[in-house]
Amino acid sequence: MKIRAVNLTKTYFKGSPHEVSALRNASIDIAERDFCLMTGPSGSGKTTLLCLLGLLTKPTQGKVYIDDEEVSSYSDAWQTKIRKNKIGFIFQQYNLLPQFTAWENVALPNLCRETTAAERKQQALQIMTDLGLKERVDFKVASLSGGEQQRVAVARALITDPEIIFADEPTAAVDEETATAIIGIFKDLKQKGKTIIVSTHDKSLIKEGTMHLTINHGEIQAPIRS
Amino acid sequence: MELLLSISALVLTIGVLFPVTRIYRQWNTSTEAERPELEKTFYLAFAAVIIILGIRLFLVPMYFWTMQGFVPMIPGAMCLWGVFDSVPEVTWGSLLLKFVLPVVFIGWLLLSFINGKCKTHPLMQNMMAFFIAIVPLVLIDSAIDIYVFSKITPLQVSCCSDAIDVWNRPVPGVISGISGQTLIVVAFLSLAAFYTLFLFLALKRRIGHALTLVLSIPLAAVLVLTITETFTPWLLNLPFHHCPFCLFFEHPLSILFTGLLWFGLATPWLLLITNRLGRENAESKNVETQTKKSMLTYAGFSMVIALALIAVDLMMVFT
Repeated sequence: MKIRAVNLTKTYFKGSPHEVSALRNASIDIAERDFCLMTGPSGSGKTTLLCLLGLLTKPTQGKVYIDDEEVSSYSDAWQTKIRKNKIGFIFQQYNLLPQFTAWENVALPNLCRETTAAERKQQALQIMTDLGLKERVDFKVASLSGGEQQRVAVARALITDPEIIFADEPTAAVDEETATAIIGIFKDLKQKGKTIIVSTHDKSLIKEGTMHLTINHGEIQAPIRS
Repeated sequence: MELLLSISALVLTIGVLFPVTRIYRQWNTSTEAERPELEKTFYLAFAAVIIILGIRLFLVPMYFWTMQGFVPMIPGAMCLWGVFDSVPEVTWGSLLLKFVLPVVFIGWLLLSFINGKCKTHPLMQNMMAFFIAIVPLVLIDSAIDIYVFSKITPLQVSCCSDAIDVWNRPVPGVISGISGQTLIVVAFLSLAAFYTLFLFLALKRRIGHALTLVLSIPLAAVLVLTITETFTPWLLNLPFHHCPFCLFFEHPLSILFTGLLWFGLATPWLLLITNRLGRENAESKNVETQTKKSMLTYAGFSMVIALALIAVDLMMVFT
């Protein structure tokens, strides 16, 4: 799936004294099967751009196209359908639900799809086994290490087999070994032809990308393709 | 429960009026940045309106059922007629509303269905405007229920047979040598058959919809006459009794065919609402057309099933 953004602008607290212009006139064109990496200093607007492209927030101005369909003006309900069916999101802070076990967290996205409880569990166990989490399936996520929690978050993002994967600094809060494992997962996804968009500071991840964007003070520099 | 739900609907309606008006006034003039906030308000208002209209629709059968429960408590009442007669200042007028208002409420729900099938809320403003327009009806409907159920007292009332089984009947006993009761049934069945054909015709041609709109009013009038003048005495086997409430209570199948006929008769009016308010852009026009086709098909088959039930009922009377 390809994603295009045209003149995306996001201003938080617009009109108030605390107004923050997080992104200004950002236009990008991400082709199908692209592995797009975004870099830039903290607070430069990477997460905002990911959230806008991933339809998690609505732009103050500008448009987002997925496969040439202008989706940014869609209602919340329709954007939710697109997120449910086409998008997987990996958050920097994992965003796991601490009161649930690891497999229950992974199975969550399938709760709103037509699957039985047995299928949900089976799929969750399968993907967790693939990601080396077989021994941790029944653990409450709060008792897992940071690296394990991030892998649970990755499993949760991938369980629906999304066509686009967004990841916000997926290796920032994990040890080197887990970072290598996560980079390996992205390599596999790239092989499978998924469109991947990642914000990162990780140099070993940057070299895997097919497209590199630099964001500074809410503005995108010209993308570099490799 | 009727009283509690009516009060809830009344309070909710007043409460939701402000956000609904705000969405209606600001949606088209809002900037891209303001829209997400308005959209969130819309979801809240939308849920509240669904609850309000859901309550009002649920309370239509509940109203009759609850009233039926008062029959043993009202001296002289043998059926719903007597209960209605114990608060006559509003019940007879409300009876008409109980059949007409659901058309308006379901019309709004149909608009919301079409809007939900579209990707960009094209009908949001129309839905809000339509709700503002029907608020007085919702309030009147709720207020009537509250009034009726707080006023109902065990007064001595007349039985339905004293009130309705009087001469002269609206349909003469004999017309040109043929029984008036038979003639009214024939007229009803003929009109209903044409009406059903027009419903199916409306699937292909716009003239069909116009014809159903025109024909629905005389058909509704003839239906009421047929129920009181023919179906009640025939199906209850009481040649001089004409109370429709007795028919519905003693012969529950009549509730089913009346309900199906109501749906058949209401459909052209529902589609008039969606036609006027549910075609804002290409996408909504497309969804509205699909919805119209489904509704007309359901309505056509409702009529066919209702007429089949009536035919079976009448055959059983004469065999």
